Amino acid sequence: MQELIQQCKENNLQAQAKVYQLFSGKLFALSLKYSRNRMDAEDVLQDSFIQVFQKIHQYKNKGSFEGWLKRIVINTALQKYREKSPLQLVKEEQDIENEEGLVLDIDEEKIDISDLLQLIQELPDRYRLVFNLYVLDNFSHKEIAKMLEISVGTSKSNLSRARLILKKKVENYHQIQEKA
Amino acid sequence: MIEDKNIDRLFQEKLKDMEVAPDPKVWLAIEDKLQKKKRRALPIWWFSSGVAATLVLGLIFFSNEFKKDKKEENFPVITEQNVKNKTKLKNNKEDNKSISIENEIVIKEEKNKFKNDSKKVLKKGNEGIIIASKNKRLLISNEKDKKVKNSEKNIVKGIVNSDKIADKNNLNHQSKSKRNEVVLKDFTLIDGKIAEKEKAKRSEEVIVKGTSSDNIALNKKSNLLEKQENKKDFIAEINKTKEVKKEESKQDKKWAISPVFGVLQSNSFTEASALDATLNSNSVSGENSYSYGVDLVYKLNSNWSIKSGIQLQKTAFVTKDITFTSSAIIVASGLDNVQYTSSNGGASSSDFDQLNSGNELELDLEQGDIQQSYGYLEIPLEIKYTFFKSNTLKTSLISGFSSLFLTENTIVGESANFGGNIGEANNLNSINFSGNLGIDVDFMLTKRLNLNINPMFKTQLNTFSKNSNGFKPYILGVYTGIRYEF
Repeated sequence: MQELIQQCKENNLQAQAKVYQLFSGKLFALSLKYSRNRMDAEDVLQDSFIQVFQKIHQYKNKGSFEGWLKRIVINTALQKYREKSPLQLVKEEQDIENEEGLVLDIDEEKIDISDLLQLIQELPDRYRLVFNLYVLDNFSHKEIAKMLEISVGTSKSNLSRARLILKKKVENYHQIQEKA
Repeated sequence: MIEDKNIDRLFQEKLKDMEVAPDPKVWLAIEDKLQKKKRRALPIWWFSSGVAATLVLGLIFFSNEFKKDKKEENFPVITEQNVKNKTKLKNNKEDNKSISIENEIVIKEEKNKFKNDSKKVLKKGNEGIIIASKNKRLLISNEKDKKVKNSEKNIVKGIVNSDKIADKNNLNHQSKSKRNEVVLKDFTLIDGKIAEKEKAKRSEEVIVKGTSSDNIALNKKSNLLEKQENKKDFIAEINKTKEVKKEESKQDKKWAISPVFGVLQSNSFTEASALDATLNSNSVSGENSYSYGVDLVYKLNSNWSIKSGIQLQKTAFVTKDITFTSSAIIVASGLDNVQYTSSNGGASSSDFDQLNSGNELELDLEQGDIQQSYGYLEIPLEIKYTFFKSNTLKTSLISGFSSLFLTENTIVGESANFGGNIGEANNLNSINFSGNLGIDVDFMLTKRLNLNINPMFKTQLNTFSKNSNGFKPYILGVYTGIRYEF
């Protein structure tokens, strides 16, 4: 791996292709979760890899390479939706939902991964980003607030809204599945 | 089986190890961009190093050439003459000691002596341009002005006389000839005809006093011959000096000055916004701007010149499709590279959160543009190589660099109902440089006046201190002016 990274630093196209081949599957999945749709996710992935190869000399072998790659994908996605939504004025609720409300009553085996992914993608941009960052990538509200340049309160309310929306959607989905 | 599950855990577990193969076209696009970057990186690097190399080589080359020219023009002639004169003078001294008082020989000797002396006058003149030109004036005016001619004859007389005496009287010889030298020196250095006349008269008096009556008749004879010879010599010398003067006047026009005005088109190598990375997807375009100032050209030789000057240069970029409110600009989180002025206070992230939380939902929103302008005081230092020259046209290649001192830095917002200063960029370096390359065309209007047209390409090298977002500005400009050579 070290050797491959070194070759990438020397702008070796074959090594770059190898890195892409190794990580594009995982990173595309990550990109899909943060993006509105497949097309956006491809854009994010593409921009991310270009950044990866441009900035690879900044990677000093501290921490996992995969972690470093993921961080770049996340940042690229954040940048994309921060810039695309300058005026998404969505009324936000400050009250955090009761944890009880988040308990689902479904058969998770019956839920398709791609459907679950679609549910996330359908969330408003900010909710989707906060949900991803907090729930799937384990960032704290403080970190999210900094990354998205919002307040901690906004981050928390965004998360609770996202959870509520997702819960409703999952339940609807479940009902449809049951009927089918 | 249905079981209660926290929504977070559902997504975490389901999506944890998800892998999705992207479309192959994604890699093709990445590959394409990576290769483009490689291709583009080289020419820019080559270009800037090329400019530097040209500059250094040019300086070395024509500083040598310049030195060589100088040597060829002035020194060899003088040194030869000096050597000749020295040896002749030596001969004269020796001869003077040994020879008898035979007239013919004396006259010959004196002729030589005079030749040497007159050459010495001119030679001395050559040593310094100012003195030379004075001598020329004197010599030329001598030819025309009878009065001055007389004084010239007097000097000739004086020389002959004093030397004749010296032949008879060795004791006097040194002092007299010294006096003559003094006279000659005076003659060369005197500024103005009147002073020259006076000196000449005085020298005549001194010399005549010292002349013994025995020699007067002899002197008259020899003087007649002398005069003729001397006249020839002088005419020859005058012709020579005229030629020198002509040559000099040809190369005389070393300097050229010109007021210049340039129309500039600013642009960037990349499609990024210098204001904030979030605006990278917005359309950013360079505006037409202008530059004005004064150019100064110093000619090193017929092909090479150095060009400098001082100019005020303005650059402007417009970022389109920015959303405004009636009183402020709102972008999701404020622009990274903008220092807002307090009066307008562009929306900061906290403002935006307030908006988000629904305090101010009814806003007049409209689309507009942001114009970023910056102005520099530009001091170029360029090398000009003339590769084509005719009677009416002169074409040169220019390469060099400019030092740019930031003088103006504004960001202005404009939409249908709103317009005003938003603030200034906080990431502009106060000192910037640009690499310059262009063609300079001079149309000769008169001998001294040229119409100059000068298309230039200038790429800025040090515009931003941080967060340039890959924004690399360059300028295409057409400069024009009337150049006066002197």
